[in-house]
Amino acid sequence: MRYVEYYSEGQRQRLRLETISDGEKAFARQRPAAGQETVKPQEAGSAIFETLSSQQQRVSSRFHCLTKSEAYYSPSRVKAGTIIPTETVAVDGASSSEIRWMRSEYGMRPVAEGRCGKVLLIAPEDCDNRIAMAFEAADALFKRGNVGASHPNFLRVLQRPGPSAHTAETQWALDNPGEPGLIGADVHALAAWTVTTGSAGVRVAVLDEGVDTDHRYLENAVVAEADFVDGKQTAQPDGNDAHGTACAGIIAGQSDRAKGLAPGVRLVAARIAKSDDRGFWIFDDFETADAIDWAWERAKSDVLSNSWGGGPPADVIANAFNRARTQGREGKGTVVVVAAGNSQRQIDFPGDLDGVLTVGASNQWDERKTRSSKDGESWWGSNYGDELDLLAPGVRITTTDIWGPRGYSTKAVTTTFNGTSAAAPHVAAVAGLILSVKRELSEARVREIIKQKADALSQGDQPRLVGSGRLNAYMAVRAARRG
Amino acid sequence: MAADFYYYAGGKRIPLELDPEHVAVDVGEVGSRGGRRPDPAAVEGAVELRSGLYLVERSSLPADERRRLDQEDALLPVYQYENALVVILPEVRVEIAEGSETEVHRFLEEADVPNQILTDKGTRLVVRPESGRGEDALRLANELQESVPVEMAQARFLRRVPKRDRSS
Repeated sequence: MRYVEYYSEGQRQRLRLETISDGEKAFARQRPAAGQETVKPQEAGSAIFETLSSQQQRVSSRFHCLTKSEAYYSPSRVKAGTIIPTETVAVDGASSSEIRWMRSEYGMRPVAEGRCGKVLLIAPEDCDNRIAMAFEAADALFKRGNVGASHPNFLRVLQRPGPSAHTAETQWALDNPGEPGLIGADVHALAAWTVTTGSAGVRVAVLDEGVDTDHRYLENAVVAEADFVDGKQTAQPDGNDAHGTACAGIIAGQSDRAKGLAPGVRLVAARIAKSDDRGFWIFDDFETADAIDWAWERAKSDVLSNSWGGGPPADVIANAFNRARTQGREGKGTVVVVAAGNSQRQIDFPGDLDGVLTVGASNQWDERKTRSSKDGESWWGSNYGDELDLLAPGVRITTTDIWGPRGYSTKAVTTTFNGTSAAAPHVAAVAGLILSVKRELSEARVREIIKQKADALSQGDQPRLVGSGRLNAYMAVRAARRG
Repeated sequence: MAADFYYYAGGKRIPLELDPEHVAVDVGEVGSRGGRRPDPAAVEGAVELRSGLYLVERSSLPADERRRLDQEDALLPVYQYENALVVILPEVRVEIAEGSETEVHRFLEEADVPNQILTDKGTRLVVRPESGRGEDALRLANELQESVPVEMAQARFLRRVPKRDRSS
C-alpha cells in the first residue's frame, strides 16, 4: 500500500493505492458481517486485472508492461468501481517547449494527441517505477505553471448500467432513487408539491382512445367526458384500449400506488380513437377536431394532453388547436401538449405544429430515449426535430391501468407504460400545476416557463434531439409563482 | 410531375398516394340504396374502421363484386401517407375568409362537383358531394382552395396509424 498525490481542479489530491496482489491479501483479512455480501478478494483482484487484460488494445498505450504485481488500484470503492493509475500523464494546454522539458527532465514522450491541445505522455520504459515517475512528472509540470492541467492519467473501471432488470416499482419519474438510473433524474415532483399538488379549479383534458373514468384512482378527478367515436355518454374505452387510462393516471392518479404529477387537478376525458386489435388506431379527423373544440370550449379545459399522432397533416385539426390556443380560457389560451412519437425519426403530426409543446421521452439515466439508450428497450426511440420542445420521463412509468386481463397488467396499476405517450402527460400535468399557482398566465407564458426551466441534458447543444432539456416541475412552479 | 392525388394543409399541397392493395367498403351506403348488402366482416382480413365502414384487401373482393360496389358508390379509395392509411369520406369542411361568403356560395352552386350544404354557420360550412364519393370530396376541397378565398377546405379523412403502445 502507498499514497500518491497529484493536482486536480487546482487542489492537491491524495490517493491510496495498492497493487492487485496486495489487495488480494488486504481483502483476505476482512471478515464480512453475518449475512453481508462482500467482494471476494481473489475475485476483486482478478476481476480488475482481467478487465484490463480484456481491453489490451486500449490499455497497451498506457503501459509498457502490465503484471499483476505492478498494477495498482485505488480500493476505496471497489464494488461501485475503481480507478487504476497508468504510466501516462494527461496534459492540457502545453506548448512544445513544455513537452520538450518533460522529455529532457523525465524522459516522458508523447503517445497520443487529443483534441483542443491535450497530449498524453508516457514514462520511459527503462525506469524502475513508471507509475511513480508519471505522478512525479505530472506534479513537476503542473508546478511550473505553464499548462492548463497536468495529472496522472487514470483508467476507470465502473459498473456498466445494465438494462432495466426491475419493473419500475418506484415512481422514478417523480422521484428517482437511482435503482436503476441516476438519482435525481426525475421531474422533481416532491419539491414541486411543496408549492402545489394542483388546484381543483384547473382542468386537464386527455384526448385518447378513452379513459376508464370509473377507475378508483381517477373517478374523483373526472369532471367531464365525451365519446367522439361512438357517441356514447362516457369516454370509456373499448376492449383492450388501455392507453388513455394510463395517460390520465400520469396526470391525476389519486393513489400512492399510482400517483399523478398533478393529483389535485381535474380531468376531462375525450375519446377520439379506437384500436383495430391489429396494433393500429383509427381516427376521424373531423371527430378529432370536434373533440379538441369541445375540450377547450365546452369542457373549459386549461390544458390538452395529446399522446396520439401520425399520418398526413390536416388543417381541420391544426385550426382546432389554434382556436384552443387563442380563444380558450377567455382568450388567455389553452395549453396544447403533444407527444413527439416513438419511431426515432422526424416528429409526427400534430407534434410538428407551431405553438404546441412537443414532448420527447427521457429515461432513468436522463438520456434521450433511443433504441440504444441504457434502459435496454431497443424496440423504440423518441422522435426528434426542430419542433421538439423538451423531454420528460417516458420509460417504465407506473400509472393507472384498465381492470382485468384487458389492460397492460391484470391489476389497477401498470408499471410498464412507455413512450412519448407517457412523457407528454407529465408536461401537461406541469402546465396544470403552473396554472394552479397562477391562473392568469397566458398559454404562451406557460410554454415559455416549462421550456426555460427544464434541466439541461448532456446533449444540450443539440436541441433537435433533446429540446431545452428534461422537464423540471419544481423550477417551473417556482417560476410561475413569480409570474 | 404533379401528383395525381393531393390536398392542402397549412397552405401547402400535400401529395397522397393511392394504396393499390386496399379499398374501403361502406356497407351503410349500399343498404341505403336498396342494393344487396355485402358482408365485409366475412371477408378475410377485413378491418372495421367505423360502424359500417370496412378496410379490405382489394384482392379479397372478386372483380364483379368490386364493380357492383363501385357502381353503388360504396367503394372508397384508400391512400397511403408514410406509415398511415387514409380513407377519404364524402364530406368537406370549409372555413371562409371574412367577407367572402357570397363568393364561396356562388362557387359551390356552380361547382363541377354537384354538392349539398349540410351545415351553414356563416363562415363555417359542411358540404357533401352529391355522388357520395370520397374522390369528389377531395376534388371539391381542392377546387375551393384553388379558386376562392377560403381559410380552409378539407375533405374528411379517416386515418389508420400505428398505435403508440410501447409497453415492456
